[in-house]
Amino acid sequence: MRRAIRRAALAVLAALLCSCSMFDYSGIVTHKYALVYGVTWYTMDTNGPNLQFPHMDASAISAVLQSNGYTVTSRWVDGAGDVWTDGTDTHLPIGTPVATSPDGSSYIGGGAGDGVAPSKANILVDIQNLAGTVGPNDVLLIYFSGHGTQDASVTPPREYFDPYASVLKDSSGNFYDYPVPSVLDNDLATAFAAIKTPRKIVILDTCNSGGFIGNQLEADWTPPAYLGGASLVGPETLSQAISNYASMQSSPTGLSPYGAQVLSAAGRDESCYETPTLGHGVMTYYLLQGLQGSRADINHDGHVTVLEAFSYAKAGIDANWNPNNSGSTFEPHISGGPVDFVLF
Amino acid sequence: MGLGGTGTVTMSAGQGFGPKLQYGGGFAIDFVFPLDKWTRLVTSIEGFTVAPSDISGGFLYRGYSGAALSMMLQAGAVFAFSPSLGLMRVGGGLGVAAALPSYWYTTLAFFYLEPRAQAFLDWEPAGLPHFDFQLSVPVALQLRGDMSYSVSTGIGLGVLYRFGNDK
Repeated sequence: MRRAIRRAALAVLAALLCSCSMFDYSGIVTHKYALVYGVTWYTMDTNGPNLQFPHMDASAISAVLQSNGYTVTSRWVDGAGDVWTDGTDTHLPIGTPVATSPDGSSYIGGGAGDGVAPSKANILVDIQNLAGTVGPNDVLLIYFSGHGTQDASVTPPREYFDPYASVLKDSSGNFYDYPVPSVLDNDLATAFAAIKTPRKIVILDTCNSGGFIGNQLEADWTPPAYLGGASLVGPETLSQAISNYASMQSSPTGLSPYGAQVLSAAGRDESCYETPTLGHGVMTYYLLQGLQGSRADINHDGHVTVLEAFSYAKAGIDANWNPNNSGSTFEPHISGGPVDFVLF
Repeated sequence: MGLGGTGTVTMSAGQGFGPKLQYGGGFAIDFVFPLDKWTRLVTSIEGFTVAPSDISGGFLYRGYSGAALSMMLQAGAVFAFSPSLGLMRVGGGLGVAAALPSYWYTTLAFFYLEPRAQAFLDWEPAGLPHFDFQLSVPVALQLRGDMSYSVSTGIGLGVLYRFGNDK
């Protein structure tokens, strides 16, 4: 009897230890695709809420992804209002869009570049166009740099990022970002449904981008509005984690970790920043630092994962930006869930 | 009261992804309450870590570390005794743990329950009357909401110090 028990236990253990060879995961990733967007100028009106560096962010991200084997489709609006597609200046300018409907779904005053600009329609069409191309073992990465907003007038608050033609002038001459022509998590979730691979990665360098993260079981002890100082695990973290476990995957908003891994520059309730000192959005700058030369390869296995890239960018912000910008601190966030994806 | 360490291998599969192995380890501080001659209740405070899986297929299961509280009912019987070597007992246990780990490199904490079973071999050396040494083979099922399944096994080594002189 004793011998039989010992033999059975050893057999179970041996079977588990040897089971690596049972699974065939040949290779790392078959093909890698990226859609990269940036909006520096939203309007030719010099009083508009234009930015300085999203086109630099998009250009640099495109380059680092291409150098690591990605097939990149890109659209960005530069600091002169010109639209670029796939890294080439079309010399087609945007206009000064003025809303003609209360929800911003229509406008006048667009420019010659509107048809190829990184608008919501073009972003969703780009995703749709990849549906027949991206295979089940491929990677699809979407990057956006520009404005992002939280609509706190609804419950729960909703966050979205602002492509071109979502920040519009109204008849009074004021600029607003309108939800309808903006991109919500639901818009991405719907578009992603046609993409066969589960390896989808969304990187957002926008304010309030943490709202795109729909963590279902995890409690994030970095608050949605980081105010500096140490964030620690406390009784609230335990309580939230248990509550999430009891409710079993009921995140009301955001992309499920099974829909996409989201790396956001900012928390749901906070802004993030760009600075001439770095020539980029702050998060993108440190992300690029990690991706260029694979410095984010924390475990030195020759590959960079989404989590490693996040960790590198977060460490850079914590070490260099937050201590020196007490009024403008922010923290990147990342999706939960058990799975991490290889970037390259 | 006892101290123990365990090396584990966990096989997990996430929704839409295949199974992979993750290796880990942990330690425990045990508080043992004898119930009768054959059974005892073991409550433990544990720390553990599970390393990420490999990256084959372009994905990996994240590593995580955390703490757990557990309770196990153990039953055993003496199967060998030697005046010079001491007493050996074999037995098994059933229990449950509540775990609160967080994923490596993140501030994301999660919770799960873990039913456990264990086979063990105890040695009470004749020359060390207050000590038990235990070799165990635990098997655990992690009831994680974010995994299709997650099971682990391993090998544990522990030492138990018994207060008092009753045996």
